[in-house]
Amino acid sequence: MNNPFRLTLSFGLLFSLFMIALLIQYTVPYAGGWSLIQNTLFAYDTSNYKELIVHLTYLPRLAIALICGFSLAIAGCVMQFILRNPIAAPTTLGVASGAQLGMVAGVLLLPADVALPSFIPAFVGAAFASLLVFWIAAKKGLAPIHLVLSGMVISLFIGAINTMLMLVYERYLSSVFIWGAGTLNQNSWESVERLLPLLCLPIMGLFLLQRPLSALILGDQASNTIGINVKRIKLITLSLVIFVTAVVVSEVGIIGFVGIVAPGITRLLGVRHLSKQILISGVIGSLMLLLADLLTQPIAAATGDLLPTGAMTALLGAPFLLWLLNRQTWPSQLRATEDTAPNFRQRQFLPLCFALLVALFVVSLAALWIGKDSQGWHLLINENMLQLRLPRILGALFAGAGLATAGTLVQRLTNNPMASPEVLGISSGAALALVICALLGLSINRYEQIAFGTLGALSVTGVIWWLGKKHRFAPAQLLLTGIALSAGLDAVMRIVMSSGHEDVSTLLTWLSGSTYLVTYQDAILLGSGVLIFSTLAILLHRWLDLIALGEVSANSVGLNSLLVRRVLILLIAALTTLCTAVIGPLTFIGLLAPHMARSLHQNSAKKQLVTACLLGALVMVIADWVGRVLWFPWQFPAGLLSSLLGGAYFLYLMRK
Amino acid sequence: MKYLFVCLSLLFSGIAAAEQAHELTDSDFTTPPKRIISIEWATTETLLSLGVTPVGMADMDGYKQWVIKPALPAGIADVGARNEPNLELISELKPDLILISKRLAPAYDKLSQIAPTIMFNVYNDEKTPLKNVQTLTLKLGKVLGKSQTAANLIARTQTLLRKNGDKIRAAHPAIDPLLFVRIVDNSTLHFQGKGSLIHDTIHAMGLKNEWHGKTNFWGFSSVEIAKVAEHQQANIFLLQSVKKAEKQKLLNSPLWQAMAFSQQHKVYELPPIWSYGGLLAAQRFSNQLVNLLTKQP
Repeated sequence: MNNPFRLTLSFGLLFSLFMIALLIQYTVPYAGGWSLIQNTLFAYDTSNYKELIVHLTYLPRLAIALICGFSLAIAGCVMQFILRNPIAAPTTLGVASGAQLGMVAGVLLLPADVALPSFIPAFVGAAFASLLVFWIAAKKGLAPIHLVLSGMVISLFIGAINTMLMLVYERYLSSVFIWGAGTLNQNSWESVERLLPLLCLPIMGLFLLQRPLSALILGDQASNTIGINVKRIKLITLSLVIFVTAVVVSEVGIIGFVGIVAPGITRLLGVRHLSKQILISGVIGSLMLLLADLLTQPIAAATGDLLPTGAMTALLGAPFLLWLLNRQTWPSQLRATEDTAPNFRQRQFLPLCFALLVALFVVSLAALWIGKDSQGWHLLINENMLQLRLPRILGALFAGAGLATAGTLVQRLTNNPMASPEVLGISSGAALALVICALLGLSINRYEQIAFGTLGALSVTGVIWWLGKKHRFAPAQLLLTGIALSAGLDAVMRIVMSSGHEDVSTLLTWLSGSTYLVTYQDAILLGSGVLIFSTLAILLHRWLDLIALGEVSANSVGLNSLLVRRVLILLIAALTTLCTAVIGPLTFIGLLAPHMARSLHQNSAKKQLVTACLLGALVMVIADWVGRVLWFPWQFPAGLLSSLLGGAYFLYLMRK
Repeated sequence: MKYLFVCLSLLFSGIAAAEQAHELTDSDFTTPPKRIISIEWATTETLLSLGVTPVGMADMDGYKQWVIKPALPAGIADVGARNEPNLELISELKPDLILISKRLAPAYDKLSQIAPTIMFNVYNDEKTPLKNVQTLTLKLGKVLGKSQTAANLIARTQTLLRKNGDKIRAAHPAIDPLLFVRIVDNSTLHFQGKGSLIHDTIHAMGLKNEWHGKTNFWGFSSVEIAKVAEHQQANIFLLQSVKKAEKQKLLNSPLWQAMAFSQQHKVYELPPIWSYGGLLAAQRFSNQLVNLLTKQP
């Protein structure tokens, strides 16, 4: 605690309070300003509809913003502390996708005349997902890395199920899309009354637990020896954090960003002590969300759209975070730290490689020959079917291989197991370019789709390059820049989906990674690109092994870290751009193919790259085939099925 | 700099390609096509209203759930989802005409390799769906050799809408503007405005829509619940919403009850209608409006 910090904090606090007071004056309905609020509070007259509206919609909305911001930021702070990862969010352990599944199930399964607030099914879903994550991670003693991985796999797995349901039942689910973008609109004090008691107790519990919790910073081993039951403390705290998150998410929907960024800003201000970190994060979080909400209201009024606050928070917060990142040097401690030495085991590389190649070959042939038509299964192939199937199979194969390579490179470069090509925001850029085209009313053909996708991806790469230069492409900086960018870009897409501007199912299909539109030219372009860049990556395997030692050691053995990072970023950008433009973002492959390779005991860079590449291709070809035949004549995007199939396999590996 | 250059060159090539794409129109047919595959529900509805049964359509169950009428004759094959109809199945059906809308524009090349493909949008930037449906009906009539049927259908619809409008104005000489509301969740509503079939239909009937705000592609705006307070004098028409219990709760909430339209009993509930349909949907909708408004004293 030094002086400049106090100064910044109190100045920031004063400034934001001033802004809030100003914005409230400006955003009160019917331009009533503070005087209308005063009347409503002290001389409430139910026959005046203006006061009624202020009392029933405006004031509860402010209260909800404060409560949710506070809780999410606290949850994020504790979550980042326990998982030891600066990019962990309150929803990292599967809460959001579980709650979404609950919402969807609630709409589709509950009879229409059952009066159940949507809070309950959403909360049940969130609890279910989190329990699943705990159950899987418990086998490995709740180590941070296993919690994070199982959280992300469960999120992807359940997320894929959600997207499938949304594709089929789109017209029933408009309320879920709005919820998914996080709206704080209220029509009574009911939500506040429900949230307050549910949140107060667990948050008090978190403050009581902070002392034994802060001992965890010594590492699990040391904490155990000074008499702290690490596993129990972790389990209790995580349960509290998840409970808080689930309550908030179930009530108001998905509000990202606050939970990641508020703790980050707190650390940036130099707050070291855990209890202070938690408290200050909470204050910053609630101010952030309130400010974002108050800024959103006039923008929404001006554009005539319903702008969900959750998405708008990310949109408004992203530039702010980028500005902060550009000003401050990020403390180096923010790297993800792995404390357990990985248990290396050797497994023969060549036989594994050969087996995977054979499997890939057989599966591709089978996908080409075996199909369904109106009469049922058939084994025959004619020229016509070949024309329709071969481009899809090739597209799936190359995209899988390409993104697996890119994913391995990202994870090696940033030294963070949560990183995937999507985290850098490149694929969000491609998606956004297409969304903008659709919003402008352009009916685009396949060629333009690829061209605009590439354009979007390249622009984001340009921004990353420009922002990263100043910090010599330091990994932590790179990840946070990517998160800020992709959160901002994703926000636009969630706003579009919730307002029904575009045809939601078409957007969802593209976002899930589909091979439906791949032509021979696309496949050839993709194939040659992936071959060239993957070969390059494999040739550079020594660099990848060396940078894992950290910048200082790597430089001391004669490696030019800056050059290495530059080349790797370009490689990642090229691969991601190619695959995303042709097929769409495939979150699962980029994230988990590298982990699958590791779990097959391929740890050196070269072996991991080759294995991940083959695995990615294999999973994608299978996923594409299953997507085509399982619900014939309906088809599901290969990206979704790869999350389902690959996710199931990965969960099996983790639980084994 | 390098990036800027790449981006710019890509942008230009993209624009150059965009100009070609707008030439997607109907090809000339010497004989009327017999085996038609219709992807959108609006085109399926229009085909059926012209007395033509397609061999294949997309999302058949969805049509039965949402569009309901005209009922589907037996023997239509389901070709899968509307955003990704099954190409293998379509080519197996050996169509001689495929009807798509803008959302399948990227697949146009693939589809036109199977059969001549026409792209038509009922919902587009002109925001005149009723006029667009009429154009679609005429165009399909021409292609299918049923121009007379198409012209009759349009004339019949126009007369019906006018007559229905007269009936309503006779019952309520000074009727307040109408506001069409769909309840999405407990704090969000959709208002139907310019660009929706409902808006066009009530205009053709000579009635006024209360909502003039900016609308999206489909012709509705998402608004928060507080917005209804500014439209208290309107007649409120509730479109069907997914969850009946939630709707009831909102209707009983103090906010809704305090509004002038609730106190003056100017809230009506429409039976299920398909508000993104064709001419028959417009006809049915206007009949239902007459039922609701002339039953009241």
